[in-house]
Amino acid sequence: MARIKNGYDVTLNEENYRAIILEKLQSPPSLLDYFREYMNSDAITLEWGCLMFLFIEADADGDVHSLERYYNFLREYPPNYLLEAAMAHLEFRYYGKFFKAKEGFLRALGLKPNDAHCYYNLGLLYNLLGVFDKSISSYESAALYSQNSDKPAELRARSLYNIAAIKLNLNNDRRGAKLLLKESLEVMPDYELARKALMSLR
Amino acid sequence: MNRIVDFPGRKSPRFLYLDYWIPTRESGEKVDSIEIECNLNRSFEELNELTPYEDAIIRKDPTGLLRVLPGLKRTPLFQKYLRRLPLQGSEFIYKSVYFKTGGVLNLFNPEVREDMDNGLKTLVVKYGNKKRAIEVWRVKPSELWSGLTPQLVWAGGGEMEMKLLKDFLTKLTNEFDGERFESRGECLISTMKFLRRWQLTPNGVCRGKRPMVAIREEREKIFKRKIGFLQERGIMADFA
Repeated sequence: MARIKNGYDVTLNEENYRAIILEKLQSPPSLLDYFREYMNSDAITLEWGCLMFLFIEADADGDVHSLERYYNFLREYPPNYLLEAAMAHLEFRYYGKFFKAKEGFLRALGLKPNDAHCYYNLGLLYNLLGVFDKSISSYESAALYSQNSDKPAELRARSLYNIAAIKLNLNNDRRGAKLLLKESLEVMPDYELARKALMSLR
Repeated sequence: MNRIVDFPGRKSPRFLYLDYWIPTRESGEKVDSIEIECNLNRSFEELNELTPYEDAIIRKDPTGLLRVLPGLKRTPLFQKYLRRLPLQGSEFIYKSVYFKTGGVLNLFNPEVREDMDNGLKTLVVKYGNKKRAIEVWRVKPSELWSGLTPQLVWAGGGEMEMKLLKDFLTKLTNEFDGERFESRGECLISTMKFLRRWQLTPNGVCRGKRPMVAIREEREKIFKRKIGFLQERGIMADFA
């Protein structure tokens, strides 16, 4: 608590820690709903609140060492979607441990089904792993549940673009790709990558 | 002489394999292993058109391999070759696939263990019978090996895959030599993206086919030949 007070000028106590965690998380609404329910558990304490606060800060700062440290403390508490997703992201983007990251995102989805960000990351992961059918289905789920994310239009547009790229490269499906790119641009009209790709197909 | 050395004077990544740029030490070592798998599947006139793999099954020793690669015995690679020759019965059981490289399509994948194989685990639960599960598993494209089936991973690559490996490494080096990356993850994501683009792009090395297609076709042929060879000699294999 002293570290939080000194470092962030925030005082966490029994009365306010739940509200402060929700405030730190900001959005999207589905995430806040998830945490409201999660924090109802009797296992969740002020100590958890402090660790979670520091975990969120470490995540925002990209402080890998602290992230791993707080994750290890927080594992003592009931499984938590955000921890699993953040650690899977770390395994993926920082360490390049793709299989471990895949398992992490799947675990996170088990805790918070229909999470568009996890599906989007799985779409990219499966694409890198050369499993193109699963990549497409993951991006389709990301597009389908994009409303659950903090940037629904962007996530949907990017997912559709990625599906179009795979279909084009894998099966030379120009017609399918065109439809997807058009839809992507309807959702995010200033998406330059999709615009250029569509132009190249004309 | 094969060598993998730290790339001098650069922060990251820093591996050279011969003259190629390689993102990680593991993938540099895998290049060696892929070449070995491909060499063991090549037919040689000196072996009456047999492969060193087949010759080792008949003789139960590496003399055929040493006849076609006489200088090999004095190099550190010899032990690696020995480990990949079918000198033990374990080569013919399904578990041996976890010791194969998966070839150029799996160049940047980490080592695979049986406990990572959720596909096989699921099938064993579904059929309640490991023998039946293996029969289904071996022909199913696997997430662990970039969509190759376990039986094609077990078969290994051949001459075409060796040529494609060199083509890929040349293009990889042209693309990334001198690049800097913030993390190992970022580096691997970039190189994996490059690999997936390459495998789907028609390539003159395989007469305008896409490398992914050419590699699968060659492995299918190698697989059929290996299984035929084993069956002729009454050798039981989980992949037969």
